[in-house]
Amino acid sequence: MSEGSSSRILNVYKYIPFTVSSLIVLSLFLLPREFVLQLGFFGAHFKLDALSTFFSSLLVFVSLYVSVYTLGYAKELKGKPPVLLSLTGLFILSMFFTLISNDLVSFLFFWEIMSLSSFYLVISDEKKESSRAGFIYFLMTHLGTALIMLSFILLYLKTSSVSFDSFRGSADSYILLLALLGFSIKAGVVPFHVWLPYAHPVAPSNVSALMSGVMLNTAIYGMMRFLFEFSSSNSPLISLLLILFGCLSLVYGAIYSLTESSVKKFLAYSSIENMGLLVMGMGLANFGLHKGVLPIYSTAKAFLLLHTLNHSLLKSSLFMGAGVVVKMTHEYDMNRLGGLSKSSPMLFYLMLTSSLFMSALPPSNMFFSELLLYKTLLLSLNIKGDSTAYMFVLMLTLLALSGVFVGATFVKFIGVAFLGKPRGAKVSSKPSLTELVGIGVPVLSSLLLGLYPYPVFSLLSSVYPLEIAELNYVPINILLLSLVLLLILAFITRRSKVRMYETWVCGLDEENPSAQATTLSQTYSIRRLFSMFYSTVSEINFDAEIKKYFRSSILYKEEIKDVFEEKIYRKLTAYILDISDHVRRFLQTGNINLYISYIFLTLLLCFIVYAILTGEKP
Amino acid sequence: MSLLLGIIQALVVIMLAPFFAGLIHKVKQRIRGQKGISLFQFYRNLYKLIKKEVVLSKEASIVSSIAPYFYFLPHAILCFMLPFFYKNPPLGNSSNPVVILYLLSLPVFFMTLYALDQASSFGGLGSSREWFISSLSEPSAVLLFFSLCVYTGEPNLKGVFLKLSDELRSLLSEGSDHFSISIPFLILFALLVLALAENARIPFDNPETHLELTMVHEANILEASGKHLFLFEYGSYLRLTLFLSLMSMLLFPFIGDATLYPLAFALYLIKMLFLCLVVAFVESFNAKLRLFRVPNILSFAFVLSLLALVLSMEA
Repeated sequence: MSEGSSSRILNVYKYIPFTVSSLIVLSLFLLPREFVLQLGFFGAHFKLDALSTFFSSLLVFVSLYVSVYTLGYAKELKGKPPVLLSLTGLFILSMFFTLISNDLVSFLFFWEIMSLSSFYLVISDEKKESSRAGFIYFLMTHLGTALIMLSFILLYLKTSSVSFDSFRGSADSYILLLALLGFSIKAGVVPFHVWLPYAHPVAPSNVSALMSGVMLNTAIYGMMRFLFEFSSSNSPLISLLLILFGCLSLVYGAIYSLTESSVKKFLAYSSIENMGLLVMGMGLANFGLHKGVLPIYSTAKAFLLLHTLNHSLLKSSLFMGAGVVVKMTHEYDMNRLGGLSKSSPMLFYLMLTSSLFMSALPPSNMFFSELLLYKTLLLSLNIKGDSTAYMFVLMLTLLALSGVFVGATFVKFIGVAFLGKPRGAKVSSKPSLTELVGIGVPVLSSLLLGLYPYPVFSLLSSVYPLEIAELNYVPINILLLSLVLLLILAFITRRSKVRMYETWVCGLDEENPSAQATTLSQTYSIRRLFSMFYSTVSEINFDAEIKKYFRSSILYKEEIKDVFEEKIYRKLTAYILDISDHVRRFLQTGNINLYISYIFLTLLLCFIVYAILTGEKP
Repeated sequence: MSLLLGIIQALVVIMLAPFFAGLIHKVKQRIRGQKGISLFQFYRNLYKLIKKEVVLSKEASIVSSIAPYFYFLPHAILCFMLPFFYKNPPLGNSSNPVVILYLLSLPVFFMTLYALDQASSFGGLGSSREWFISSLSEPSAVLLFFSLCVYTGEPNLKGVFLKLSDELRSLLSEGSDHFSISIPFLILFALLVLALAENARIPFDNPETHLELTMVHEANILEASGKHLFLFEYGSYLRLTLFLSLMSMLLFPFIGDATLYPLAFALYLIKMLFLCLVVAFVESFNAKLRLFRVPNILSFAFVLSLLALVLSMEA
């Protein structure tokens, strides 16, 4: 195929995600609230109730601007772009159908299509690293699917119906636990997160934006369905588990995204952190239901919806931005970037704003949702004479701690990648307009959401009946006051002049960009203090020279490894491999007579099982 | 009328901030046996800075131009939120503890970005250390504010301090028994440690040196000059004043209405002078700690605020 025809084909194919998203927008408006699709002998039931409407509208919004971004980004796609773009369309479509499914068969069917299409998207660039990431993702996501399937089968056995409507209030706590476990694997909750830091960064950036921004939401959607609709009771044990794992993910994600130096991987860790927040919020909502304190439940619910929205907006914009950075420089490592604020100011402004918002500093939308979480915690702390309330003290501490870590993380990201002098990577291209528009839409909507969230609140409560307690925060007043103060400041300092000059370097005359802060130096103090959470390997290499203090070159390498992966998963894998080796030696001796007897035994077993299950004589 | 009085309160606090900072400096100098600066020297410094030209680094991006404003503004806004001595601050309905804490970390975010914007090796040191100290002080600050809210049952700090003031008054007049000494006591101590940590005061940082091994706050703003330095300096005076004022509101909570305005103001001034003296003495009789000894002190503050929260949950 010639260069021209392949680019012409690409020009057609790159509109697929956009077309799919626009079709979904249309169908959201046109489709009836409840409909059945006859697929041969089986009728797939779909229903747009409150929860589905919220999550699918969010999906549509995110995939629309990501598709706009894809128009510019398509040239960067590796492997087979036409297949990739078509699969992106399928991925979006399958997520939509997963969210609106109203029976377990179609839910699982589309859930599986979503997993498979995203699996292909992860391995699309056909490198060894991505196929390994894809394998881990494939394994973990199917483990999750298996658990979800099991819980659905148990529900089916209990209610003898496949419809979600009849599941309402019938999931016992063990079914609920299975489903929550399955969904938390998909959401990347620690300790089931191992696939997430691998899979999200190696996928093309438009896909990472969709995976982090929307696919994780489908897991949150599933958890909310089970927890608030299917569950038969609100056991405190479930709350405790959710809060525990939420706290774990929160701190873990924050701590690892702080030290990570890859522009895409640190965002994946930050997603883990935000999923932790959401899981924590679910635990609190369940606690509120259990205690019968309605304000806790409704505030936590508002937090869940708003935070999902905010996280989707900001995380997708950050992933798209990181994709543009990689496209411009062909460099993933922040320590080789720097000075990008000059090569592409517009991208820098957008990333600065999203980073500021992601750090949940006022007046951002993320701040608003975290405020709701803090409010929930304050309400829960106020329940006097309840011993479980001490759990919230711990949550409060961890929440504050991770808040600081997130701030430091994004200062590191902006400071190392965009500010200062270039550290080596060459900038080879500029971001295109469609890419900037794709990133700009979520940033702008986050800004509006942060300053004036009340229309969204009323929209949310029309979708989902919510009552939000008084928040004691009026962003508009603060904004007005800051404008007045700014005017006064501008008046006071109106006569000052500006001169450009070199940065002070202690009188040295050498230009050394590598003397600037790196991700390692920037996080050294915090890393040292919280060293028990890291598994670090560092090594220093230098040539054996006589001049001890004037070495010509020193190589310092520091690798931070995932504690869970190192300490649990690796050992577990070794153990399983060991056992299977023993079993293999015992079962597979190579004797063909033995193998034939296996076949015979299996057949016999099948007959016996059939006879027991049906009570018939074969 | 109440709006006007509230605005006057905020402006008075903003105007007094360089005075308090100067007072601490002067007392420290007197303890060292120096003659000391004039109490109004810091005002003169600020005036001089406004008139000077700004020298920007060649590597500077837009961050260098906006960060000083984002350092100053949140502190100034906080002055409009808290009831220092008058019960109706203009933004009192937004004085949620979380809003206050996050408004206090917004300047840190921008100051550390400013440091990295200069492409100098000092900036990296400063910004890394600033977040290190923040990561330890923030959890304790959250617990501390929440313990006040849980103890008084009020959702925002304006309500908290008004209620404390009312409790004290009722204790003085009729001897009511709903009054806890232990919680404000613990919180005061924790706040003192936090005030020192967050304001680059001596056991944590020494703002008077320019030695790269020791500096935290100074390393961040090393490249600032002219009006940018003015904003950073004034912002840091405001930050100090805010922390000391939070302590003063716990020390002998007395918040007046329109009739008691002058009395409450005088009391506030006396309490602030006392706190300035305390800070100056603490700074004079302590040596600066090695950076990795800082967690010891801050975890002490954390334990105190944890105790305060547990006590207020039991109360």
